[in-house]
Amino acid sequence: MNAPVSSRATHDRQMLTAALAKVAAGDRDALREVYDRTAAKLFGLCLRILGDKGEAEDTMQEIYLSVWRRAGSFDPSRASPITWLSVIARSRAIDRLRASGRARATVPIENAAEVSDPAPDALDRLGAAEDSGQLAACIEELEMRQANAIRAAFFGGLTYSELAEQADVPVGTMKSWVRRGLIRLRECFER
Amino acid sequence: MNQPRPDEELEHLAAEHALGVLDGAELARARELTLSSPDFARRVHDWQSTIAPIAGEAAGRQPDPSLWPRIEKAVSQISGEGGAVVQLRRQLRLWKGLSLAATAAAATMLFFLALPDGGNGRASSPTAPTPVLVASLSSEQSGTSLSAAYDPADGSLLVTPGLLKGAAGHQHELWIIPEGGEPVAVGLVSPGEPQRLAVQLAIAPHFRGQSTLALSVEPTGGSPTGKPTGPVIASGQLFSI
Repeated sequence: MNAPVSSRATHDRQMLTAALAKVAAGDRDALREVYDRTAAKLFGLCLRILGDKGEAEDTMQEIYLSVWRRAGSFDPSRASPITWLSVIARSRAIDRLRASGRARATVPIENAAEVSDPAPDALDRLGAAEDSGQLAACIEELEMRQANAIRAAFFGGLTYSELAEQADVPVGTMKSWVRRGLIRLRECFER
Repeated sequence: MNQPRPDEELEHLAAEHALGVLDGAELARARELTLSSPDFARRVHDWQSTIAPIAGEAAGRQPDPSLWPRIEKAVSQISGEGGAVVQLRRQLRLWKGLSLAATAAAATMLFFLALPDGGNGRASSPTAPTPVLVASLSSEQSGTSLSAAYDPADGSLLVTPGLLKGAAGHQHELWIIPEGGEPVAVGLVSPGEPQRLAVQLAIAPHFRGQSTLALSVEPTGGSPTGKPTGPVIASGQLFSI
């Protein structure tokens, strides 16, 4: 573990946690701070899931309204702030994707494996498991088919039956890929 | 390979629910377990956090500078002058001060909450009030408005329909939506008189500040799927008073 990066990550995390606490108290300037610290990462996530700038912008608005309303429920002892925000963002974006009925078309499995540029966002340093190097290494450890299935579910909102259809394998096979992949991913992140 | 553990199946289900790959009966089971088993809910939460770093694969991208002003405006609308939240907070201050000068609905609700419940003899004492949760549900689009107050002392939810129109072949169903969670059915609401719904013990933990109440239009008898199937015509957040 790289000590300077780690302490900077800790600092960033503390700043964001403090900003969320102020948002919970109704401080709009603090919401702006949360936005400045996280918008690039979350917008990138929305774009990846939705594949459409307008939809991603609408979703961003929903996400930060959620943050405004729900910041008081963030518990720093249970998750890092960026993890909490990512869970909200993904959930909003996937909901929108499914509502628009585009869950299949948007993220074909073969495209889901695209390697992204490192985000220019300070938040990539937040939290050990969010370290992009560790993430890449952990994904690397998975079999390609496991990684592709998990990506297609994570970014494409696909269910088992849809994943199985796309990969042209029985649902039972897809289940065992995803399950084994998730368990290995967790083992890797926890190392 | 890993030795199979007695709870391995549950752990898989929690992971799959967090990833969102379940459908049909398995999805229904995972949702039911999330509600009935705190242990399962914790597993799902942990798995959501575990897989969240995958989001780091998406390249970061700065949104247009015009996005923040949009969000700021939306925040102002929900919290600014005339916004529903501010109106509600004003109502709450009134209620807290035991002023009966608030809306008729608010006054009615205080009246009901202060009355001993004939059924089980429990009451919210006016001198040492149990903290209650209230929500004001409204929608300008549908012209619907109703108020709800939850009394944790006896698990009752008092619903006061303000503007709620009945329609043949349809009923209104109330849902509680925990933060970040899925809607859970609370019960059917009729237009007209204030009514008391008994909140089932299993879903009582969802009645807390920040949860959302929502009203949807459903076939007679309620949603056949256990999830809202019709349009949501009003929603509002629960606040503790």
